[in-house]
Amino acid sequence: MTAELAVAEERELPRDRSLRSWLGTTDHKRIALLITAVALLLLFVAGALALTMRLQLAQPDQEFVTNDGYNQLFTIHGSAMIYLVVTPLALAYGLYLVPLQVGAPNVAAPRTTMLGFWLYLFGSVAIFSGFLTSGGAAKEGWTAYTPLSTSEYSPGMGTDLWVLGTFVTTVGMILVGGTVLWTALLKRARGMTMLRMPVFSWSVVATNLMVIAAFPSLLFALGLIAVGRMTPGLFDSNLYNIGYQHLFWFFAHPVVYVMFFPFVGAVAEVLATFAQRRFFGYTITVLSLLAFAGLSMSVWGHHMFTTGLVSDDYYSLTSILLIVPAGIEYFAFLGTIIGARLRFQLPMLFALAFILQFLVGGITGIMVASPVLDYQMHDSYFVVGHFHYTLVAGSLFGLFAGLYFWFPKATGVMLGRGLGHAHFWLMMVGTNVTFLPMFWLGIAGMPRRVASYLPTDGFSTFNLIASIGAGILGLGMLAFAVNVVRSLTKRKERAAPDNPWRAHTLEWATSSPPPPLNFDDKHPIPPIRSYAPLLDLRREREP
Amino acid sequence: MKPALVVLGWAGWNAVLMLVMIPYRENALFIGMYALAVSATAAAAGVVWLYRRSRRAEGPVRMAANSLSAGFLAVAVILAGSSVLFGQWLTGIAFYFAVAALLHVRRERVPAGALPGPTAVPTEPGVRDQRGVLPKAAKAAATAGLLTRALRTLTGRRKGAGR
Repeated sequence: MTAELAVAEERELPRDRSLRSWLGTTDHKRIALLITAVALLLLFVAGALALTMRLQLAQPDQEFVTNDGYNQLFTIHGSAMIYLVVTPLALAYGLYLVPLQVGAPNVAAPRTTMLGFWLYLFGSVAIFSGFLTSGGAAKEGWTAYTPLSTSEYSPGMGTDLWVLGTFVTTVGMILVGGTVLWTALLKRARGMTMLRMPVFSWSVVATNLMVIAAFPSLLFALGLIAVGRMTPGLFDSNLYNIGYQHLFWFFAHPVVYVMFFPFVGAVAEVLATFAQRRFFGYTITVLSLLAFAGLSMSVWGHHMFTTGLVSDDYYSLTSILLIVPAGIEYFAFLGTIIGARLRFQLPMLFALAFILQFLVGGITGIMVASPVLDYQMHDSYFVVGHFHYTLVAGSLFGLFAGLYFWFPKATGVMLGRGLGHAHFWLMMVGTNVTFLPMFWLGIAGMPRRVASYLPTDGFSTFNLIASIGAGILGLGMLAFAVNVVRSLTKRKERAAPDNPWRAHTLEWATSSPPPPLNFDDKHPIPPIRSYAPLLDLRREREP
Repeated sequence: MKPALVVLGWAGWNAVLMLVMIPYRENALFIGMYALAVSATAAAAGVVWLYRRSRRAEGPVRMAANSLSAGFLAVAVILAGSSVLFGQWLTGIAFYFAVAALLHVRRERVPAGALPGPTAVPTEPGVRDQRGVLPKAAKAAATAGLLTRALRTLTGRRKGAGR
């Protein structure tokens, strides 16, 4: 087949490592790595903001930061983590892996994808540049509820830059998600039917369906804020305020799923690989992923129970129905590992921690999906604990399971085991010590987004524990950063083979790192007869 | 499983969830918002279906060797957006970047059929679900049987009823 292809002679081939080649790349892997690098950098910046908040809250009545400064901290921390870190990382995983997993030479419309990266980068700069303005960065929370975010209550350029940056970043993410979806649906290799795509690719398909259906709603919501900031009095009508919340949460609930679906897929691949068997319940898992994604579109009103202006019955029904597809996925996870000869390598440790901890986030989510409980818990630290168990104890652990798993493929280098274990255990302890006390703080009545509390409030002990946990978590992240830098500087000692984990999917059939158009004569695509083609091949060779 | 059907099926599932809102008396404005998203997804399914039907899906992959135009366009977009905050003069600069993007975009594409590097991936996708006629026929027969049975149950009288 290769012989039939005319190769443009004047074009520079592979391995051009110049800055210009990176900034003008059309290689989906490089675009994904650019997004990943920016997002990981911002993860550390947003993490530093969180540590500053935890320092402020470690003791009652502290004045480490001002109230205004604290508002900026939690706004930019939340915005950065959601719009600039976890969502882009989730989509970047799909961008890197889907073309490889479906046997495509590249993503569809790579220049559009690259435009998505640039918009994301410039949007991030716009959001953070708010700190350089005289009034400081945006300070109305990542939700930017109206009328709080209008020019009357939030004057200054910080909020304007936040609106601009979030808008531009969201457009960028729609472009990235759209091209990856197009690739999975229409650019698959011969033999790679839809029901032979790996679970990870299916999770990305479900993710990007949510991106194209839900993300435009945020653009409308941000447009509404922009108009409101230029038209004083617009939000005097409650229709606009409630309308804004509907538009916002129609985006903001599915985005939570966008932030963990690819990591559910990643965990599925890790479990199957380290259980040394085929993923259990493939078809039903694929269907449950699609059903799950659909349900996630219909539950947005549960964030608005306390407005008293949504149908409590409908939204609690659909929210509680989420248990069904989630349960199926958990059943498939357990079916894959029970009775298998497990190998407890680093990706597997992160995957197992994901399964356990995400369960806490999920179950507390079902609790706050009940209107009766939500009226009590709304805007309390219970909710903060819940979504951090979903996004840190869940998504971030899934993200690291995938990162340790695919790092050798993307860089050709194995990450160090010692520092990897330090990272895992510090993060595991740090996460639980930080976020578990928040449930009790919430039940005790501590509201979220407060810069201080009194010694007599009874919140001191749990806040101190949470702050110590945040420090441990920070140390874990530091171990990860050192591990990445050390591994990349010791390339020769830590060179990775093509398939170091004996994994099952197509990306492991090519070199580490893969060639520019993914497969070449030395690394052709093997025959595809199932969603685990390399496992099929191995079983043929080693019956 | 056809790709367009996956997208359409997902839109359909959302349509069902949206319709369930009606008996719960959710505000029509917000049901409409959901309906808009469902319609957009259904339209996406239509685009996928049309693309698969068209000859483009069968043709060779056409790739760009460079993407600097995307960078220029992104600078134009962010400058145009910033002009709302920092003054209209920025749109003038944005215009030059948009022109630069336009001029660059045509030069980035390699000729149809040519690729910017070697690959062993067949670049004429033509992916088709590889299923025989027999499973399809069996599925159709089973569906027809189920439908007939459901119809009979709905229209017919129960045994013993009316005696």
